[in-house]
Amino acid sequence: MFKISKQNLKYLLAAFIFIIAVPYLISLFSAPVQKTTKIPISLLCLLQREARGFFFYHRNYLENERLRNENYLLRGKFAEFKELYQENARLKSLLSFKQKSPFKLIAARVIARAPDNWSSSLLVDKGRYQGVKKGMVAINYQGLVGKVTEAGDSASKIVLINDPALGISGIIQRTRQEGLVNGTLGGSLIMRYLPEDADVSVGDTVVTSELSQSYPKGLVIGKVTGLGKEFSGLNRYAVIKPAAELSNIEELLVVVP
Amino acid sequence: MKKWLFLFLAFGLGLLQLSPLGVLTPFNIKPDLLLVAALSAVFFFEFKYAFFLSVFCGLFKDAFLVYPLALNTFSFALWSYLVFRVAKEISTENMLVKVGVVFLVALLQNIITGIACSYGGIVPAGIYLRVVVFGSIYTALVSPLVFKLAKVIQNR
Repeated sequence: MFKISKQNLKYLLAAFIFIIAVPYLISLFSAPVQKTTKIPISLLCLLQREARGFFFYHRNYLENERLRNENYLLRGKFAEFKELYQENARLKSLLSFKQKSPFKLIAARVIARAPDNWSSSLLVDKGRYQGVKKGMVAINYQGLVGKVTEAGDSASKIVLINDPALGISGIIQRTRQEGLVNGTLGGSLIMRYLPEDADVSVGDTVVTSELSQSYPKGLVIGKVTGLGKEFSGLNRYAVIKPAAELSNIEELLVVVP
Repeated sequence: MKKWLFLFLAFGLGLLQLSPLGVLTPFNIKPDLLLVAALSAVFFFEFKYAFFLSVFCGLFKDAFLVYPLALNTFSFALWSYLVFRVAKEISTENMLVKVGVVFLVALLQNIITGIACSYGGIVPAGIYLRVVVFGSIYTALVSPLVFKLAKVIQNR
């Protein structure tokens, strides 16, 4: 019943070998075949893509326009969210500082900056109606920012500590050495009238002194970044980097004495 | 109508100058757009109006500054008068001449304001020179844009 002719056996064997060999052959040939056909296939794909681009030009154009608009919209939204995120972070740190601070504080937002290059001042959105008065001190969570020079009904002018017209009585926190801190219009402040033998070194923190009636004692002004001898040769001066980033303040707190 | 439009332009430039201009303030220097507006008025309008506009621009600027002197109000009025006199003597039709006049006026304005504002305080020589030189150059470079706008308003 199961008798297989010699001929059939040959066919069966050939089929069996074929079935076994084909996967092996495929794996053997696939790499060179793929390599050889890669260029023609990509050429064909390119042609196909170009042809589709040509035939569906109008549809693609409209779709591109739609996607581009969507992209602009999303970019705008992203920038808006980023701005809100940053504002949120700033306000959070300001709020936490306000809660921890021993002073009574009025939060204010910067609405304008000095229109010239010779002074360093800000206009904030809080004035007399909100309790801001001339002479009050402005700070942020980083340190001293400036002083209110003019209080309007609902806006106030604040002169920043890097304005040359503003002088602050400061002390080196470590050694209690006193000096007068002045603005220079640039990114640094200068602490003048330090004695020749003053114990001041780079990295020292400078805070407001209790000698000054205008400023609460102990507000951080900045850190000493350099030392030098005054032109007269009688005193030394210290260059101070303000603790508060004065160039990009957006919110600040006015200290109510 | 033209005069009102130009007044609005000057007001707009003033607002622009009050805003934090970000990348448009290289070396932390702002161009004096109000000064350019005041001088543009001298170049493109009659003297009475230009003088009034210069005073307006000076007042606008002084209103936002911390030093009590109405320095800009006086100086802007003075510059408008002097430029008006100079414009009678030399031709200011050429854009380059106008830019040159703006540069000179900005330079003098910066030198005077710088001396007045740093009185009693310390402005290092480097910062003083940077503001005087770069501030004046920047103001002069920006001025052709304002002149173009002034001309558009004048030709309406």
